[in-house]
Amino acid sequence: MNIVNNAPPEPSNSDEGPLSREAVAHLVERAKGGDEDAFGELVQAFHGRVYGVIYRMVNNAEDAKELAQQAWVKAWQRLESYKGDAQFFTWMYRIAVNSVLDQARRSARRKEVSLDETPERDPRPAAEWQPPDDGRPDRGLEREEIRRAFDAALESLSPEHRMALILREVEGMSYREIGQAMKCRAGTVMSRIFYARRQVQERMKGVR
Amino acid sequence: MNLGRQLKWWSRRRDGELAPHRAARLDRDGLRPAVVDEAETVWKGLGDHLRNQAIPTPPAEVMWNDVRREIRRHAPEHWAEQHLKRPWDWATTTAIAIFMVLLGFFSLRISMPPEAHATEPRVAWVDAELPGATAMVYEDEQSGAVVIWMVTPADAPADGGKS
Repeated sequence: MNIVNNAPPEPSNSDEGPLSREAVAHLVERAKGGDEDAFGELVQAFHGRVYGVIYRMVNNAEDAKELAQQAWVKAWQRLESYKGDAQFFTWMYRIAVNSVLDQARRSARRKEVSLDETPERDPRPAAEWQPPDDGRPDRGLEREEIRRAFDAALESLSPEHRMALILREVEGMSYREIGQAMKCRAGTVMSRIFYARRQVQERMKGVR
Repeated sequence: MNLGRQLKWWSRRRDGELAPHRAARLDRDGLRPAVVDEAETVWKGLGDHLRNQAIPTPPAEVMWNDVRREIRRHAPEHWAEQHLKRPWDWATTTAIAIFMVLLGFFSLRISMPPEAHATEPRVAWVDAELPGATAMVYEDEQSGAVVIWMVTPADAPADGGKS
């Protein structure tokens, strides 16, 4: 496993990752013709971003891996339906987002059935990522507290609100692109992001 | 402008999604309540938190190997799902199969030479009612007529007849 600290998002819209738009289109055409190797290149090019979004949603490495795998298999099976009207990564995110939201809904139903069930969290130690140390141990603790508070606040959001926020903040996607990925209108995306921020803000009161 | 709307606009502005005339209005109004500053601080912290989260990403090759294995495992059922899932697909497939069989049958009939039809036996059984007599049946190729030869026990010159 590689531990990656994601950099701030690239400017949105025309970003197709490490491949040019033409290269992606060419690979997609080959993959549509049944070329597994071409599809493999797409998987490897977009894997990090797709996995990152899913992981941030489920907060569990095993679940994230399984969901990412499912999303790519679905993408292969539905490749014929990709007409190129949206960018490939937006189309791919739509599949990944659906997988995650379906999983979240299934989990919610399971929770309704079994109230004793507790969500499985990543067993990795919480402090695997260390914020920059400025030599003040109390500062480290403070940051850890803030980090945990943010995690708890994010956990309290609905999957739809959390997803919209992640796609905006991490992926730098526009409201229109997020709407395409989540099958909703840009206005809905705007409301979800604003609501998510306000909710988190409310929950962060008293921290610091 | 009320505070709620103002915050909404600040949120959109942060994402680069606020229309220019509204951004200008925010700037023109100039007043930026403390609650907006507070919100901006938390929102920025939230964005940083999400971006800086440690992601234990599996290597891309490992993911692709897993995906490829799954693709190959699901290939037959995917084909069936794509082609045979809907009932009208079954109906179409059956209709095409019946059509092809009928087409094949009639094509065979049309392409058969007339002789082939003529070789079919048109006399299946001859009962001479003469003790010890035997009958031979053949078809005249030129006329297409069926010829029946009768041989009697007296071994007299064979009587024959044409039917």
